[in-house]
Amino acid sequence: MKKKPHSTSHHGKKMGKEVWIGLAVIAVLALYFLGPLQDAFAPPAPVPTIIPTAITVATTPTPTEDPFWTKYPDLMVRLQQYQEDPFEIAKRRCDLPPQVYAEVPPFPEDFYVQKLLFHLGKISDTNYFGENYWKQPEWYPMFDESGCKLYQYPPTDRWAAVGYGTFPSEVIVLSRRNDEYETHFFIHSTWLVQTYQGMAFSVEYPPHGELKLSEFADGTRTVDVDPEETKKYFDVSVDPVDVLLEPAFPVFQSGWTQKITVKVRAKDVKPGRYIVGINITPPSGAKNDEWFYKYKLDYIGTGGGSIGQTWYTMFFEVT
Amino acid sequence: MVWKHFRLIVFVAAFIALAAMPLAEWANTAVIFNVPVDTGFTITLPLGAGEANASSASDPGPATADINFTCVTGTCTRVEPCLTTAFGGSCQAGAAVPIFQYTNAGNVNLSMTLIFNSSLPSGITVGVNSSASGVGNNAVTIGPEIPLNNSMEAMIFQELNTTASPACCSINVTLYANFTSVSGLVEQRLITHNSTNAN
Repeated sequence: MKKKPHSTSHHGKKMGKEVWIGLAVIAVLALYFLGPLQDAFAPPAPVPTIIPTAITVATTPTPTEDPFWTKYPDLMVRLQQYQEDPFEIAKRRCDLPPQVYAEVPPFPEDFYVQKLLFHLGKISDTNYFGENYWKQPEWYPMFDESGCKLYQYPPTDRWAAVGYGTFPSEVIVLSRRNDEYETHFFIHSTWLVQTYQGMAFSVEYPPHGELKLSEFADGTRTVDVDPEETKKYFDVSVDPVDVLLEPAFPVFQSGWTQKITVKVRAKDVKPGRYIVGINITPPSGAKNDEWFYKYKLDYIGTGGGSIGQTWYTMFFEVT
Repeated sequence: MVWKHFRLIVFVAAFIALAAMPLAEWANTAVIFNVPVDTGFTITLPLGAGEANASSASDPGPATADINFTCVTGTCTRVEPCLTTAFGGSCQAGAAVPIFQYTNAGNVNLSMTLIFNSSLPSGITVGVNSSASGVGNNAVTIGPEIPLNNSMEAMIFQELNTTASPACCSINVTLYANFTSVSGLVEQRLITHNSTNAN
């Protein structure tokens, strides 16, 4: 039998090996299990988590004083921009008089960061975003691109009487067979609309739906389903049912956009894909009368039937 | 052998069990992916001088979004609609001043239909026409004028682009009414604007 050089430490050495193996397994498992879960379980980080932390620029000398301007002009330009407007997030990109925004909350400094995270789906929980985000017109697609110009140069020969939109208009929900959850969307007056628009929501069970800007994991976009089956499996309610959208022109009034909650209960659903939609309908008679007498000529009861896709469509994948 | 590595095995097993707990919790929760589609439209109406801030007796006064077709003789052809105002307001003037102008306020293409909520009074028919306006506007519009009634949705345009710039794109919609021996009535109907995103 071969003599063990350090018999007294043999046991300890052996345990050390076990521990190292154990730690290695833990590390691999931790990477495997916890890596993808961190995002899902971490509480919403106080926003600027993606902001670079290595800030080394205290002051940027002018080009004439600083030799770096000769050596690294492109870098210096970027550093100067950084100092002037660190992340281009603190101000609106649309140049309009402040009165236009007087009735919406102050513009958050990290607005564009949060907007990007929402639009990319990095943060799907709509509750995470306060009114100070989603009441800004910039929250919605196309305001910076085209809506802004319409406000800067509104038409002089026409006025916007009716107009509304839903955002997001579609959502994919990966659901268990028995489950309860909420989804949300925003209903908003569209650019330049000057009227108070009354409307209501109804739950629809379309036989067919098509994802417009997204797809299921297998690449498919369409769902065909028996509406009666869907109705049997899902209890869906909308809150609030009646909504009054306030004007978006010339001032974005406080209620120009509103958050709608959709509560869903899945009841022993057969695995598969289903569609439930929310449509916009005329408001109830009582609400319509109330708003009409309050706003008179400025009020329009809107909404109507629908063809094709509903205004807000939930695509369920049940496993 | 098993006993030799007992502590390691227990340790790893305990770790896997702990790691699996949040996984099970995750699997028990619906996962929601919002898709950043904004579906929206705007309808504008003609704005006559003074309607924005009516201040004198000659002004038409505050406008409503209601429109009316008026025929005082009982028989008229191709009557154009006007806004219903206190003192007579802006009217459609052919394709140059359409009664409705639609723009796509969202980020997916739109299609639109019109329909009346109930049948028109006897002796009155309404027709609808549309045309696309704006550079790069590829929307499909109505060719010859088509009837507008309560029995069939009148498709007034399809695939209206998103409005990437204010110059593009809009749809001009004109309405015309024919009256044949109609007398002594003021009737009201609602037009429903039905839209569908059509990407």
